[in-house]
Amino acid sequence: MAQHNPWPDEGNTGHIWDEDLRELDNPPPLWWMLAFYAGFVMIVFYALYYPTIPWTNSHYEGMSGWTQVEEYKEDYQVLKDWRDQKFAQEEEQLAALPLKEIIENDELRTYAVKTSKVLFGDYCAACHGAGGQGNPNFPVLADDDWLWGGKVNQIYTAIEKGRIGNMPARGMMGNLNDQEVEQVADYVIALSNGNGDDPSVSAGKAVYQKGMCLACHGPQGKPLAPNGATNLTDQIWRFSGERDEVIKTIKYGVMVKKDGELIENTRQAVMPAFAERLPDADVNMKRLAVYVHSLGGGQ
Amino acid sequence: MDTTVKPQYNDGVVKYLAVGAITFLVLGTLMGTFAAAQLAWPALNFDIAEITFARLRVMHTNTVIFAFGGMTLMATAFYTVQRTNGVKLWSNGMAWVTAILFTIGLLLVVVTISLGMTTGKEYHEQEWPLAIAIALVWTLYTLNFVMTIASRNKETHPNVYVSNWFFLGMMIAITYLYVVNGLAIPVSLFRSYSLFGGVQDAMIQWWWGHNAVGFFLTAGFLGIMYYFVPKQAQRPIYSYRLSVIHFWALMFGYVWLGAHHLQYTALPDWTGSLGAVISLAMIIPSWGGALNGMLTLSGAWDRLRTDYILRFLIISLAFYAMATFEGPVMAAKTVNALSHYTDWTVGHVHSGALGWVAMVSIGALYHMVMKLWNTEMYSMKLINFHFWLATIGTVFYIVAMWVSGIMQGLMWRAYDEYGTLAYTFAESVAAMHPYYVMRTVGGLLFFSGAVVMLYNVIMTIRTANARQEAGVAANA
Repeated sequence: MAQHNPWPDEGNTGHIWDEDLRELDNPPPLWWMLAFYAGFVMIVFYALYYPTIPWTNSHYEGMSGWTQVEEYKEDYQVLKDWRDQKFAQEEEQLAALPLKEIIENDELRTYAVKTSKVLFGDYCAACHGAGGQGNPNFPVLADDDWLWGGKVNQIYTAIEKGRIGNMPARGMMGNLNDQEVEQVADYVIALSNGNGDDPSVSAGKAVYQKGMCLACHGPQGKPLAPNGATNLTDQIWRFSGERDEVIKTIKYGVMVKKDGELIENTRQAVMPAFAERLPDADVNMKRLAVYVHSLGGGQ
Repeated sequence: MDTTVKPQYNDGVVKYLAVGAITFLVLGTLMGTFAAAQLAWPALNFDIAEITFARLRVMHTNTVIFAFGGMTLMATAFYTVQRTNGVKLWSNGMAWVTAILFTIGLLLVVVTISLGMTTGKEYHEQEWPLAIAIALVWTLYTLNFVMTIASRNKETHPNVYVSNWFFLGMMIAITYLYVVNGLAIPVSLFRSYSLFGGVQDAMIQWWWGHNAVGFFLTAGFLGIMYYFVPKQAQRPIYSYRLSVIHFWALMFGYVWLGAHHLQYTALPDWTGSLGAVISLAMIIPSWGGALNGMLTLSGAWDRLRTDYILRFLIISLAFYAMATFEGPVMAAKTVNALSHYTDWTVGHVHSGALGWVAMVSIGALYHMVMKLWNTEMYSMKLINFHFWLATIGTVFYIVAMWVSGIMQGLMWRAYDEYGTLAYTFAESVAAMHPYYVMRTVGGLLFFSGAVVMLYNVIMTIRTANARQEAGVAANA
């Protein structure tokens, strides 16, 4: 049926829907048509230039021979060449010299520190803070209080192999009762305030002996050699100095396991080993050790 | 043909879907705004797993794309297919079943994501029982649409109107893309593993992922554009031939684009190049749609001053043209190397989603509300207010993400005088903060606009009902 067309002069196609819905018989704009065809031409050239066409077991490689892996390698090579040309000597020395010599060499130490910023920021800062200032439950690196020693070799070992803290729950023998735990907590808090000899905490002092806390923390609350145990005589706390938190640490210990699983409420103290994690680990672990050593407290 | 008798259509289900779509627009943009705020101020995660950013972002995308977008597509398809074919729906009952089940399905999708159940596939997070249910509902929707077209009077309606082509193309493409990407081996009621492995899985995922954009959010909404722009402007479509060419170009072109999401990955080189070049070739076909819509206004541009609904429709085409240029540029390898994984991608998606999809939907929904309830809007001023909230909100959002995205990309690749990276990742995150705040403001403006719309529509419906009751009373 020929449709009734109330708009015979506007150049519509003669199809009308829903009373007034209609289309004009205009051609598409010329520029649009030309651009549309240009698109096809572009596809052909692009497809010839780049790898685009799959065969059954391989693919057409394109006239450019472009591959993304090659592009990456070339970009990387440009950077590497530039670095080699400028810093080859520093990099060689960093790789060859022992850490002790690196930190004594002003220029080399400065170079290691300057090239560590992002390495530290991307691999270490999540736990230890952007400037090594620490985070709750993660140790500060920018002070001179060291759990595992502040010599550059000791820092290197920590980075290379990681560290796992450890403290038994309720004393070495696990035999302190709740009251004794509270007493020894009061004692170590007093210790950190310089009041360890105050008569009010003498009961706790006795528990400190009974629980054999001294085995790791030392007879005076200070480890005799770096062993991962905290120095209890300063105001720096590995976890927290709040009384309830100190009690919690003593009650549940650090990394205490039962049947291979961590018990509830035990403190966690794990630093992963970075030997397998860092890119170019051989030299980058040294770089980071020098950097951490330079943060303020290196010994 | 007697044109004085207005045909009766099944509009009840359309009314339900239209109000549902607007409600989901409010909910979805609220979620998005809150997720944006969480990025700016992480404390807003409140350590509650169910609303952390990781889940809320996905709840947001599903609510806006599939709940709001899907209900808009159903409302407009059911509305236009009846009018352009001059018949009632093939099955009104089936349309109601489709609409209700789709609503329940999408609510369950959002709830299960909040509870942490996910396939991990973007835009396809729902686990297999829900995915099957949604595919079945979608099939009912498609069947009803096809059968309605088939049941038209071929003498009075010898030709099928262009909006129907786009709707149908969208339905068919979405069905096979969604089903293939969803193929999985269930191991329990809410756990399944994709049938594909490794890079093939990634490719299938983005074959679907990009076409959730290309077909669901583009072809379907072009169907909306082709009906509501000429209707609202009361002008004929500019060029029939243009609509034919760009329709087929989009239908054949879009399915090739997915690989551009995987440039510089384990994906074979040829696949990425192919994705990139077809993406670039899609600029002109995409512009065909924008052009056809805009040229439809020739001779009626003055209407934009007075017709606020038309403003939504036309600005949506401007954003569509911009986003379909930006996307292919980002698909090109050199640009992609900078833009990939940055906020620029997020900004690009939103210039399409807010600027194009939401704006054209809002225009169509206002138009439909007035027709469906046979009334003027409660307040035209509020529509204008909504228009400015939505437009300024979208611009805020896009500009913030352009700046932050490009800055991110540049910071990640910057080297210092020692040839080592200049910035840590955390520094690039910190640098984003002001833009994340700006984005939140943009989102808040857009969300406020949606609230204004919901209010305006509710008041329109209430006053329309009151008027009808008054009319009935006067007649009695």
